[in-house]
Amino acid sequence: MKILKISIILMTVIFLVCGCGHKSGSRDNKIEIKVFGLTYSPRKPARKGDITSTYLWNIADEYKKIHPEVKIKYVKGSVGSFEAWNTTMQLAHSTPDIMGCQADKIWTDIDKGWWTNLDPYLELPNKYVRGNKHWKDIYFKESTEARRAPDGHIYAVAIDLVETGFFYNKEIFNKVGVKPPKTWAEFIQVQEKLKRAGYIPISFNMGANHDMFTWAFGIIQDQVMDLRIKKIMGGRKESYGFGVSQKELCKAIKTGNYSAKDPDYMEVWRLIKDWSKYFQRGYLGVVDPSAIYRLFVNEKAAMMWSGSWSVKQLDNDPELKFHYGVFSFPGITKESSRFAGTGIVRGVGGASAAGQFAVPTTTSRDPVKMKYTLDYLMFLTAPQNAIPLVKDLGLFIPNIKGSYDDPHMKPFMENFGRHIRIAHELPLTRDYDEKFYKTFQSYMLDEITLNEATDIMQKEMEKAVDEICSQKGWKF
Amino acid sequence: MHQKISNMVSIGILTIIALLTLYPFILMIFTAFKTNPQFEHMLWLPTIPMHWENFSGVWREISPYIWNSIIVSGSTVVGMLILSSISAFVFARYNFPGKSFLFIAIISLLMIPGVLTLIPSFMLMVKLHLTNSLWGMIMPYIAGGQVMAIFILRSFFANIPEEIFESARIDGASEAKNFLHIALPLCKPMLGTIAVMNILATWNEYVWPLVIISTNDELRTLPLGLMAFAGTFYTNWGPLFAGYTLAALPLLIMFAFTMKYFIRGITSGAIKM
Repeated sequence: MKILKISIILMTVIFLVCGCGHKSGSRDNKIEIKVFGLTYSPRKPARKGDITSTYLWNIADEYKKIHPEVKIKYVKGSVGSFEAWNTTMQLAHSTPDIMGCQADKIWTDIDKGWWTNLDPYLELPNKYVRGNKHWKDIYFKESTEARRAPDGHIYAVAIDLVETGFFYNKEIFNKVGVKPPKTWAEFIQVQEKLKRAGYIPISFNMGANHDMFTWAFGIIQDQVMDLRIKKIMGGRKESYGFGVSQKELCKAIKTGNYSAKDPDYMEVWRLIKDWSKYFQRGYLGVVDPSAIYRLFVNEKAAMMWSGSWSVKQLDNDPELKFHYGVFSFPGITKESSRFAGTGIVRGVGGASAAGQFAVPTTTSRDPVKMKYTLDYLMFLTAPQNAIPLVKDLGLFIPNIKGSYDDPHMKPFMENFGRHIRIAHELPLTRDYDEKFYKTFQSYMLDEITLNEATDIMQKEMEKAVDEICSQKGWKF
Repeated sequence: MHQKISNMVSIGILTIIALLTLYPFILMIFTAFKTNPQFEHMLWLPTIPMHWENFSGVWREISPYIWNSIIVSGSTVVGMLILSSISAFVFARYNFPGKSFLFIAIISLLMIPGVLTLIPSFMLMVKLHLTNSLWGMIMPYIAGGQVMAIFILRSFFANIPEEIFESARIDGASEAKNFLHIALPLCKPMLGTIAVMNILATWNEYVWPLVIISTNDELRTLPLGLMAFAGTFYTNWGPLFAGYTLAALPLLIMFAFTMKYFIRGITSGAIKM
């Protein structure tokens, strides 16, 4: 009991001394700008070879030389549990003044009025860029326009770009006698040969994280449903937004121009299922997404579908026993599908990487805070700062015009400006998305036929569209 | 001979089970010494050279947060034990109007998942100006931890024969003395079990500290500090697991000292429903 009594007294003292007295905020008279840098959050490397960047500290130091009245504070924030973190901070009005976030994750909050429409500010000159008349001109236009929210505005500026590609083991390819394919038919032939030679042709993830499945569906749909997508978009410029908007999709479903029973829609499902013969066993149950990477580096799989973020990791790997190459998604031709379109193959990615910055309305409502926040954001995104920042991390490519050269990133650069007009990338509702994924899994496992699967999806599609239309008051 | 073989088979099976149980912990330690390439090429086994610098690197990152975690978990467990033992004693030994209703109201809170109360609890903390402070973690943890503790302790206090308290009263003991010198010493194993369970929960909590300490990094707790090594596109496995290992050490030390209470508490029915 003595120990208990002593610990009670001790803990009470600690409780009183340490529990109180901490208050966030600057104690001097400086204007404090809080920044969450997402993947660019500065952190000293834990050891040599650790992939991290401290460059944001340099940028803050440079800025403080020009504006000694401003204090830049980088908050550590959270990459996981973003929704809970963001929602609670917004409710408490404590969101960092510059918030690193994936733009599409905050689009759902637009109706709540939490985020500042940056369009008017993008028209202003960026004084840190010589001769600049409009801040928006420092970004690549196509990729930036593609990150407009469903309401047509830009809520986050992106300093980097990401692109995906097929990484292949050059030694295995040489041994089996195959070359990087250009068309889907060649791609299937290459995988068939690799399979016969005893390799897993490609490591694929359709388990815990189904991003890869979404990429596959989108990029195949983009090619196979080319004519339909053009019709749905009514001839308007392709590069705007993600291509098919939610409203256009709802209208197309309501008027019968987009249906799960359309033969070209069913063709997308068939092509993915045919392709799945070459995935590793258990691809539907992958729990750890890095398992895909491990199959490739350990030479069990001849290919993996990954992105620019894997390059540095592979290049820093002293135990990698092979050379690798990267090729883009092969075009689907008439040889593989009667629905093959123009042969233009778009990419998966764009200005959707890790360097996207939004400003909460709690900041923009305070004119002084907004003035400095905007000024720092302009400074941060200026080519002399943003390009070295992106290069220092080494996972992505700058979305800022300026001098940049990195031979490792070359394979990923050819698709920029031609991003997929995927309808599926804009899920109708969250429930629909879940149902879609589960139905696809059942189809892949042969639990249901293609006809049964598309019957289910047609019903779900109609249900989701009715829900959206009644919510948004759309009538077609 | 037959007995010997049977024993050997049992020992073999038990060893395999023990290894399987311990393997996640062993794997954590193996991984703590690896670089990312070592981790990717040899997931399950240890690798050479061992990278001790993972520990120094991660220590630099998380050491400020260990003290925060100790304060939060320590204060919570003391506050929770004081309040819950008093409440449980009252519920067990006294009769007052609405006693059953109040008790059912309290234990019915066990049925509400924490995630459902995340936003309302957070709004309450905002109104009380407790965000970005350690109080914002300690107070709700004490409140939340009490429910289970009251439930367990009340059953135990209720089972202590009334005659013991009666004799003490005859000898002139006050109600406070009855509680402090009779009831509490008798339920030490229970208190130990509840304390260990509570510390485990608060030490490992991630979401609540994340939302409460949203922008004041100096007040982050260990689980938040460790997340600096995990990212959407890239995770530094070695330092992350070195961090997990360091974070587990205080708990291991605590278990070493409280194991006897914990086991005694479990065997005497502390966490039997």
